[in-house]
Amino acid sequence: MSTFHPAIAEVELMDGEVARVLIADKKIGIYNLGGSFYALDDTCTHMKARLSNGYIEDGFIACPVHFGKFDIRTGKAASAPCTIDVATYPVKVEDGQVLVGF
Amino acid sequence: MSGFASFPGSDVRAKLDHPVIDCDAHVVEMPMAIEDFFKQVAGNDAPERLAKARRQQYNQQSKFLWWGVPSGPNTKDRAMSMLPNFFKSRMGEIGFDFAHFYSTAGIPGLYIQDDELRPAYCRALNMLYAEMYKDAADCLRPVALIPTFSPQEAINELEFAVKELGHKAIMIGTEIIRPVPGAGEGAPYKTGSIAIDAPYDYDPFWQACVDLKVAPVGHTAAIGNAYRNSPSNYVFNHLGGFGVGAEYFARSLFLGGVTRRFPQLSFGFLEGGAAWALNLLNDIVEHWEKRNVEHLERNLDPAKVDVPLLVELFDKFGNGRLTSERIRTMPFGPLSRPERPANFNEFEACGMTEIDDLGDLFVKPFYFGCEADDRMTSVAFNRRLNPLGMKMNAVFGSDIGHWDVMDARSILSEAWSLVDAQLLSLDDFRDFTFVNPAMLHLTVNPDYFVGTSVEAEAAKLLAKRKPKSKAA
Repeated sequence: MSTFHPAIAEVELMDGEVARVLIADKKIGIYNLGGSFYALDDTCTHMKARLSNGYIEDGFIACPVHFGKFDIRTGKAASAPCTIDVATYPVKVEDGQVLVGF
Repeated sequence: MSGFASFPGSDVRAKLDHPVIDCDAHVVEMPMAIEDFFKQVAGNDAPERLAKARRQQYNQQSKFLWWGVPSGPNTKDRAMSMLPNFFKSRMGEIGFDFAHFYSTAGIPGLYIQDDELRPAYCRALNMLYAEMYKDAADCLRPVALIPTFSPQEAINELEFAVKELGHKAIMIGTEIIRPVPGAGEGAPYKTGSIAIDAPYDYDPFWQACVDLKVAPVGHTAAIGNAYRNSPSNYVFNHLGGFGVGAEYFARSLFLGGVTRRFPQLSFGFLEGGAAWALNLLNDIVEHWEKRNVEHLERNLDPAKVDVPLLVELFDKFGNGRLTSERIRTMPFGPLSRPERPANFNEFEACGMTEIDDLGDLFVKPFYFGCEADDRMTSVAFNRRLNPLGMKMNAVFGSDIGHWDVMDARSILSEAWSLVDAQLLSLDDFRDFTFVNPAMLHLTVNPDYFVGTSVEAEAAKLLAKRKPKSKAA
């Protein structure tokens, strides 16, 4: 059973943007794709770079270091050199606040 | 004449909703004015002693700057670098709101070999600048010289410059240049760092910079060093020199752990552009990936060489010289001795444990001086060239007073041409000409612009400034 934690105000994250949040020492990237919110572990599984400094393209986040991609909706590694998926977290929006569960 | 004369800086400034801060104009000192103060500091014979010392100074075989100050139709540009009030009177037409003035005489002055004359000469210049610019302090700021051949020398002058003379900005010697001991006359000089493998502990100096709220800025040209040592060609010696000097200093600060130990400080590297910095940053990432402890132990530890596999492969693919017997006897080879060297973790001093750390250890604290006609400035704002996905802190520096500015009225227009060419966005241009030049100093001293013509804009900038946490 996940506990949901406040991450960011809904209005602070525009469509196509990502924000890094720190919750209980977890580095999490919160994404807004067309008004739907997603949460991924913010550390690239390849060389531990900060994914949220990368580039959002067609529903994928490209790591800034080697441009390996992950599917924002599922966390699945989608292109070389990334082969290990990133963890995802459940997300819900309540009272204008994006909440992340873990 | 510059082709931009018909589109002067004032026209560019009229388009902008922010001030323009010049990070790097130059003062061209009148020699007799220097002498007045130099004699006061070091005695009436000081100029003669310095002239004699300079004749014996290092790398005199290198061809140094000649015909280096505007003349002919640009005589006004020469005069404005010598006369602060004249500079101030032209700020409207050149489109600047605030300007910093770096030494001309003091750039080599920081490396005078005589240990008495070097600090005395720097002090004389600092006294001269304090007097020259006092009536134009609302929009012109001179930069004090801090010699650094020892930390105590540096602290002495820093305290005098800030506490006694009221300076708020400093240019430091970024390296120690000395003759190789016992090498004899004419031998090359050795360049040593003040931030890694230094002969003294410079942390008290960096701490003094924190305490006195000054950002250490380097303006080191590297002329005369090993690859810039032509006796016949100044252009050969000058090309890329500022970038090389800056790269050495930046690499030292980062790997020597100064940016880790003093996160409060920002550092400036002037006149070398930003391309070298991006190159260095990418290179650091590549080295980190292959030279971090975990990777070394997993993939490069000679003790883990699979000798049976080597033997098998040499049996299969070797020849009469490259035999399995030989490889079995000596499997390690010259670049792979099994012993661990001292300082095994070469990223320990800088504290880097993951790539993301470079944001705090390199990208955020470093500011890179770029001239208006340098189109490579654009790479600083290209996040995709940056392995951290961040923009680098490029700062606008006019270089007014020196030969590479033909007409001061055209400088801002040349910078603006990068916007016209779609190499910089309007936001980038704002960061380049205002935000970054301001933040270089505001990060260290929030009151840096108090009492100046840009005080209100600087205060607004500080109030709005938040950590960059969002990325599109």
